[in-house]
Amino acid sequence: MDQPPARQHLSMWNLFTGFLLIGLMGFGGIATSANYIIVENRKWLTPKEFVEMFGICSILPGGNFLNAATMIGDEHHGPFGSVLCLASLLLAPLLILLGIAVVYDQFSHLPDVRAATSGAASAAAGLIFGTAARLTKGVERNVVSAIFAAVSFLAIGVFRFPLWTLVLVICPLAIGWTLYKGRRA
Amino acid sequence: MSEETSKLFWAFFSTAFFAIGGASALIPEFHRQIVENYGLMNDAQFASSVALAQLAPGPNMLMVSFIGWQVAGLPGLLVSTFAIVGPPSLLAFGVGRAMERVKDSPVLKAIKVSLAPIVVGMMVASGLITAQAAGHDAVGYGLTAASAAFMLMFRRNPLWVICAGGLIGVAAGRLGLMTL
Repeated sequence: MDQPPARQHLSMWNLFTGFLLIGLMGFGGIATSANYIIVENRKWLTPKEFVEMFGICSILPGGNFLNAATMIGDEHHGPFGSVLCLASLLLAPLLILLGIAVVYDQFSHLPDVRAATSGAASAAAGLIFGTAARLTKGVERNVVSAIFAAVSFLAIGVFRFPLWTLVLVICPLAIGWTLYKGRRA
Repeated sequence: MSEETSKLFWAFFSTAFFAIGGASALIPEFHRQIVENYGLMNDAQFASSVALAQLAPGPNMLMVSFIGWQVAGLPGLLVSTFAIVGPPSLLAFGVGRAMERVKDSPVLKAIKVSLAPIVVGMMVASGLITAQAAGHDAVGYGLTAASAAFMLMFRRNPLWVICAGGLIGVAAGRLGLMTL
């Protein structure tokens, strides 16, 4: 595994503009834009750090990237940093949403508008697949990892089990296996 | 606080602690609280709020802010956002600090390493669910495949892909290739 360099200190302006962009660009969920800004564009975290933080934040209650924003903000600027990151992540999308709410009734019946939103949503789905492939860079390559990834996909994507089954069953099994293997090694 | 805003507060505050799986997983629970329990919206209003909220960029949790806005304007928006974001963020704050203190512990490392492949599996699942909700025709699935391929080959800003998807959607719609 490549050792990440010592964490750089991120300025408030850097965090503010970064999370603002993540929110603004995050059509169809923000996993794609968060990976783009945090890992690829600004290199705040390595792929491994990003996927691990995402994992922890996904099993906690609340929106996973809202949780990540809280943690990243606190790491660099304490409680104020958390509030700053949360607010900058929510601000732009909220304003856009209110704008959509005002004009939507006048335009929603237009075929072009419905075709555009449908096309954009299909493209967003592809971006999520692509981001999933990118995230494999932060995962240990072995058979057990592949099995747990496949089981999680089947449980949520195909069988549509509620997410707590993942949190309460699959995650403990995966963690238990890693600890057991580590103890035997 | 007006009666409506205090109802919004309790509806979302009581859900926030169990909000594992993000906003999309919580839609049934939000429906139970807002429509059945507190009667703040009817079925149609709730459904259209959820659909509209999906159109905007940003965290899915914004759906809650939007329901607050629809029910009680700006105070409703602020109170709802605070109620759903506040409690989990406080927990995440505490967990973040605790992790920093034990960052070299083998157990924490095992947890992080084990959750990583699960995240990838969940992400593929979320791509599939989004694709199925977006379009059930050849144009929709073709767009999904093309944008996944673009993402794998180029490190460009993903926003371009979304814009291109919208434009191709309009073109396909005009040519009568898309079922709407």
